[in-house]
Amino acid sequence: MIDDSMQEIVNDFIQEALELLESLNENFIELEKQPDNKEILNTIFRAAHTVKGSAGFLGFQNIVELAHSAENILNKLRQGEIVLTSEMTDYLLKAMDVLKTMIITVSETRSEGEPPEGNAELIRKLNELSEGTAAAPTIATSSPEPSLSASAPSVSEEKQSSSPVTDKAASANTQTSGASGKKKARSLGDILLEDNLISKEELEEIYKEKEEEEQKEHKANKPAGDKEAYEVAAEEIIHPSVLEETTQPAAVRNENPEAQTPQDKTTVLTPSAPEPKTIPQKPAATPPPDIKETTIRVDIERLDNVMNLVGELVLARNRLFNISSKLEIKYADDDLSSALAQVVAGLNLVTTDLQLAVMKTRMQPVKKVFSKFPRMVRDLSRELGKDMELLISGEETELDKSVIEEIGDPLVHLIRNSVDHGIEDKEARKAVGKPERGTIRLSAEHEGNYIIISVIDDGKGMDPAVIKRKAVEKGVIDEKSAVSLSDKDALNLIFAPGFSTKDKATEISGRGVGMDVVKTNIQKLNGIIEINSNPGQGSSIILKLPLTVAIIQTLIVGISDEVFAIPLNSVVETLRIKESTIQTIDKHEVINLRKSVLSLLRLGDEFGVTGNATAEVLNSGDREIYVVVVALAEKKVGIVVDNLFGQEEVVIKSLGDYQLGYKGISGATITGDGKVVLIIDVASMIDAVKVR
Amino acid sequence: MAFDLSMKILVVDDFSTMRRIIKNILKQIGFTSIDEAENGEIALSKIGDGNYDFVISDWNMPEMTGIELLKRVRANEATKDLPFLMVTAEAKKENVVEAVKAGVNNYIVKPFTAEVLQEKISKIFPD
Repeated sequence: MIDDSMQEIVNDFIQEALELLESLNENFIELEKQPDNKEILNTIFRAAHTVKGSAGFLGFQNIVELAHSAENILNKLRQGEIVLTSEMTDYLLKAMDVLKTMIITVSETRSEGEPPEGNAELIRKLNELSEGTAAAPTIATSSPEPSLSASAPSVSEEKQSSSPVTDKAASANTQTSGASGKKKARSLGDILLEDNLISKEELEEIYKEKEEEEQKEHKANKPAGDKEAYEVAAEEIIHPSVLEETTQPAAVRNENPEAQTPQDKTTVLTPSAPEPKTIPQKPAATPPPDIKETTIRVDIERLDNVMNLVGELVLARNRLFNISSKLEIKYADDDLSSALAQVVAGLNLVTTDLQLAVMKTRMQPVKKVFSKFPRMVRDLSRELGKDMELLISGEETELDKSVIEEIGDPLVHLIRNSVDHGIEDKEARKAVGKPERGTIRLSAEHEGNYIIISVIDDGKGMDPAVIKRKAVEKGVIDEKSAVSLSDKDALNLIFAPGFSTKDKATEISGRGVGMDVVKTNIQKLNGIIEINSNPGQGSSIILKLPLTVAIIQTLIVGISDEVFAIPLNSVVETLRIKESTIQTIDKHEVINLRKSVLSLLRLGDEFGVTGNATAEVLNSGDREIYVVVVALAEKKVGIVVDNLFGQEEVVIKSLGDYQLGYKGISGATITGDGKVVLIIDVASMIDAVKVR
Repeated sequence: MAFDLSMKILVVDDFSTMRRIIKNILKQIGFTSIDEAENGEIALSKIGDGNYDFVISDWNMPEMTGIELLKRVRANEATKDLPFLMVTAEAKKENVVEAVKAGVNNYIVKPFTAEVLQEKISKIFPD
């Protein structure tokens, strides 16, 4: 019965359930710190419960089964029947992971399929951990005697006449006495009675208890009327004696009324009792505050579309701005041109604000990424037998969604590095007089148009000398250049491809991807990565990321008549050289830059742009050319261009399908003077040199 | 059918998937006027002094549980008789007792089918 609306519901379920499960990680970490915090337990319980409930509707039996096992333990925990152990946390976390996996399977295959391997084992283990008292029997199976359904109305009516003051109770109990002429809805008590699920005596007993509870509640809370009274009442409603009693057959129970005190009973039954006078002051009679839903879910595609349109608008604005300023110069004393300039200035402001506003709609707090790290650090440190904590700050800082999506993996790598290589084990820390528990700080903050994310640990730090030695051993650099390398540059060697400070890659941080991949990923986001370390005191890695990927700073360059933009964050320096200083090694052009060899790449040749300038001064050797040195990770290339025009902030526009056929271009933009400018993809430029 | 298919129903659940599922089932039965609320506070402000003919609420919700919501609905003279169906995951005896005390009109255990929901609703609205 998977029709369209069902499909939509399944999609909703996948998204909502995954978000819910994702958010649990930090609850678990918090719970380990305060194992008897009922609120956290409740939150986790409710999540398992919710996933189970909706999965049940959608027919995902495996998910229901696992969620149910987890829910069982959580329920016992929150009711204080069992005490949380680390083992339980491990298995509960695992259960949440497996649930996630199963939901992802649903999203990929549109069906639940086979349960993942080890699922049965996990369920068995969870059940074992929660073992003990069996769940209380459901009411359907525990009705001990058929009771008189015909007399149902009399139960409530009797009640009403015997205690006319408890109008609130009556309203809940007696739904059969229609006052408005319209047929009244029946109460659950009546329905249960009619279906023989409860005896008349049992029902009376329940109503009586309810009234007694209400009396007590009013005595206890004289100024009844606030929400608190209700919360107290809600907790009081089930006290253990009620549970025991109501499961007993009615006949037996009536002979043992020891649970109630006689005075309480009389106050209920005596109409002239003074206390009930307070009852008409109904709690929460004040109208509830008018709360509107403040958020809506929007398909990301729609936001992308809006962003795209704003990009177009910005480009058009830039052109208009350009034309208007030219007009103003040309027709300086014309009222029209100055009027136009005013309008354009207004448009300029609004467009800038609009652009910012739209960017904000795509912003998400970094919490989305950060929230998975406490769990990761917990698991890793348990695995490694180290003691450490992860302190997070600034998780409310917001970043563009696309940036958020991309920084997850690099951060995982950096934090794993800190856990594995940075923080020492307890003994080593004690030996150097550090606290046994290591600390990793993960923080995010704004800095102008950038977000600074830092990972700082108080571990053993990195020794530039050791790094240099390793780099020479691995052939990353030669011995001669190692000697001349500054400490700071030595640290940067860890970003070089093929570098790993541990001889043996461990399970934890040595998974084939190195720091070079981290750096490349950050640079792809037009970000900058910086490393600092004090041997013995710890390391810090700082990521500087743009708020958005749609707008970047570029260096505008020219080759003959064509104009290109190079992302500024990849640009290391620009040089002006005589063409005659270019040397050729293996048919490839290089220059000698401060005693190291820099490969050159002629942008004109790459893109087949041959201008007249090249033809004219060909072979003259004296022509001055510009070299833009770009770097990605530790790989550098010099891009040869004819002109440098300066720096410009551009809005990146995708070229769509056209882009596919052309390597070396990452997009296009339109400059203020209306020129379409292609944006150079530095990564592929460097690859082109590497291939040689 | 004992109940009016055009009655105004409010579905209260903190999980939007659940709300959609319940709405879908209600539509299957033939109800036409269904609104939703994601928590007790919003539900209360929507219900006001009787903007709905029938409320279907989840029991287990953060901030305000279904029972607390019901109590506040019952505390308002204007809505003290508003029919209220509680959605719950289990029907343990103590839960049912609590529901009876709070003045629930009927309860339903999830997951449920359109048939079961229809039956539960017809029990509330007698012929």
